[in-house]
Amino acid sequence: MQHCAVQIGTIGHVDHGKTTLTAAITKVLEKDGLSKFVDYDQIDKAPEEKARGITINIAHVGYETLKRKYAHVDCPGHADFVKNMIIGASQIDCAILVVAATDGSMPQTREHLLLIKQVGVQHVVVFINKCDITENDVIELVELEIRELLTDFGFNGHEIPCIFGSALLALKGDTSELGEQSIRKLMDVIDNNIPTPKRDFTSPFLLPIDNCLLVPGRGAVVIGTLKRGTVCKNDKVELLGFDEKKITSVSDIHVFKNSVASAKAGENVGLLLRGLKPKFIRKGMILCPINTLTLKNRFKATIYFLLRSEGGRSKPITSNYQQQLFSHTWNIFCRIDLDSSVSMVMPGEHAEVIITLLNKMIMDIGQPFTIRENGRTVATGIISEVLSNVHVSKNNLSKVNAES
Amino acid sequence: MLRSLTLIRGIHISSTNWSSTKAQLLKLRKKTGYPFDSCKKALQLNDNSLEKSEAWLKEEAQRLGWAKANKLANRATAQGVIAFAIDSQKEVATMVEVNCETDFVARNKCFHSVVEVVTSSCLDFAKQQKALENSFSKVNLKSGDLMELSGAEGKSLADHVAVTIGNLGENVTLRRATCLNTRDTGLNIMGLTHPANPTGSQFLSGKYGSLLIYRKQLDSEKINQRSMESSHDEILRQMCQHVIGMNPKSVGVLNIQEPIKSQEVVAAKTFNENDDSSLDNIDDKQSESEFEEDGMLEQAFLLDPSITVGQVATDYGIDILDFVRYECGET
Repeated sequence: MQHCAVQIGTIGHVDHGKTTLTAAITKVLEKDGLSKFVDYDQIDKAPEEKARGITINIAHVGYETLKRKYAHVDCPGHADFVKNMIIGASQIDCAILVVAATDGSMPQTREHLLLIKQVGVQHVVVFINKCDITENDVIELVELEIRELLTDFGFNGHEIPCIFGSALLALKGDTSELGEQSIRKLMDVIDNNIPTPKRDFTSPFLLPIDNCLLVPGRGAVVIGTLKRGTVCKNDKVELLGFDEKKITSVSDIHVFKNSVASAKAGENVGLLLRGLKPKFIRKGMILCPINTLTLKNRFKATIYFLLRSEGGRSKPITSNYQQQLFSHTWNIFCRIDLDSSVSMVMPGEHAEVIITLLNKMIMDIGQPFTIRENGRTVATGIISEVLSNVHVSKNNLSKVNAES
Repeated sequence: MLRSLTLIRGIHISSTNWSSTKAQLLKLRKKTGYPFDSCKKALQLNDNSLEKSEAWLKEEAQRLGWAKANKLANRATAQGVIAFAIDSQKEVATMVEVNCETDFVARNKCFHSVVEVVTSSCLDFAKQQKALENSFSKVNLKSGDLMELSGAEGKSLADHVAVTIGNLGENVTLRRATCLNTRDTGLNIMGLTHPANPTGSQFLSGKYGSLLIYRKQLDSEKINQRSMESSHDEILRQMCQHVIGMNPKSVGVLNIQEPIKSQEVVAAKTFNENDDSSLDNIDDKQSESEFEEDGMLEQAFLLDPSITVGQVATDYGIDILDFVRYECGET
């Protein structure tokens, strides 16, 4: 439970060598004894993975440098990357853009950069491949062109690291500058330039409640894993969810059955709450310091509707789609509205939607959820933005103004 | 070798450290988009003249395109787009499917350019067809037929596709096309693709497409009050959308009864128009066909499931004669 692995994704034209590069990275790092070599064929298959019933074409490779652990993904298509983001609810921390010097950037390199932007990747590193079979003056121009393109797309073209090499040479065991050494340079640059995702211990704490017990003689205990921050005994707290807000304080904290003075993000805790009856507590409610969070009932989300073959719908949805939303351990009735420029979403498509909940809850950006019809999962998504509340009168979502 | 590169970084292109050939090379590349290697060769063979090099490159692109096309011919093309075009009289239309290898390329404007050329050629082809007596002309073209059609600049579509393959480095195939001609039949055509084309180019493309052949009844008595709610064109577009979303197998029979579906909907706590009743017996293929109406007119209208498509057609005085539905990548 130390630091998390850094997520890397390779992107680039089909024939520019991103699979060869991925294999070469594992081969070179195997020499340090921390990784296992994964050969080209295993990665190239980009097997169809079934995650939560959804099919994605994706290759997962893990490797480690002396500094950090890495989780590397390679997908053949735009849709695969977006699906992976929605289902995996995980961000790619760094994209390696692979461009062969022999061709330079392709027309579709623009689409590669658009994807990187769309899935919110903050860091890009460029690997200019096939330098062993290209002349220097061409390599220079290829680099210049890529930097300009990156700048066009809002990245800092001047600052982005560009590594020159040949993945194929490295894969063959060539130890020259363009061979293995270029791979080492690439990993060094990534080690040093991409920040490690950290656990947040300093923000106001947030505890999603998984369970609630009544301890005879003592009171209600809520159980869950602290999402962020640190909670201490006697902290004044708020219990929020399902339109309810209750103020209480923490009289005791248990971690692994031991009473402790405080607990931090990542720990599974039981918190004894002062003067609160269990009947007021439901799975899905949130505990946090008073006045830090507000109950909300409207969010923006990125959602994927499963194909019929994945167990999803056969028919599209149009606006004002009302169903059960499931997240963590709770569920609630919700209404989904489409963007005004979109009239329907077909099964197998992903879209940006607006979600209105029947009751106000706390939902975090990046929080995953599913939509179920008759008990079957028909859609999966993640929250992308928290919006202002709307008035839901008499528990009737149909009357909510979709435009506001 | 690489040491020289660190000198170049951070220096503007206009600096005198750059030889004039390098500057020309970058200029030519920027203007034409052809690979650096080709641009280099072009300048060498044409005395460094930009104009002559451009012309040379264009021919070279055709040659290189064919070489690449032959090399990539066996690669699967499971992605792509559906596009359509209708003439201004709404009497001639075409729908095409053009495939490529990745959905990155499917979104790319270089790919869209060749799709536009193909669509335009097919529309020309459609214009040349003659509607039959009392009926319209509907011609389905296969890959081989399409490749032979002539396109812009007097080149065949096969030539155009080859150049695109050369530019994108991916296999591109012309899968199929449907050409419609309703001249002199009193019929018209409406079309739609889904999703709405985000690239803002001149024609419409998407993952799905539909064309609707209809007759607009001019008898005003048949057109009741409801026609005030939406314009004819809007309703026709919605019907095209219905074809895409509900995937009917045939036009069906006009009857004005309640849609069979609404009686079968499982009593939920709140009636949900968007519920997919086919999920109720998802493991039972038999009952599926009971729920799924194959005839378009009998289906519950996508945008108002309380009435049938037939009812909407009657209300707006529209006779539906036929439709075409394309789904990218379907077998």
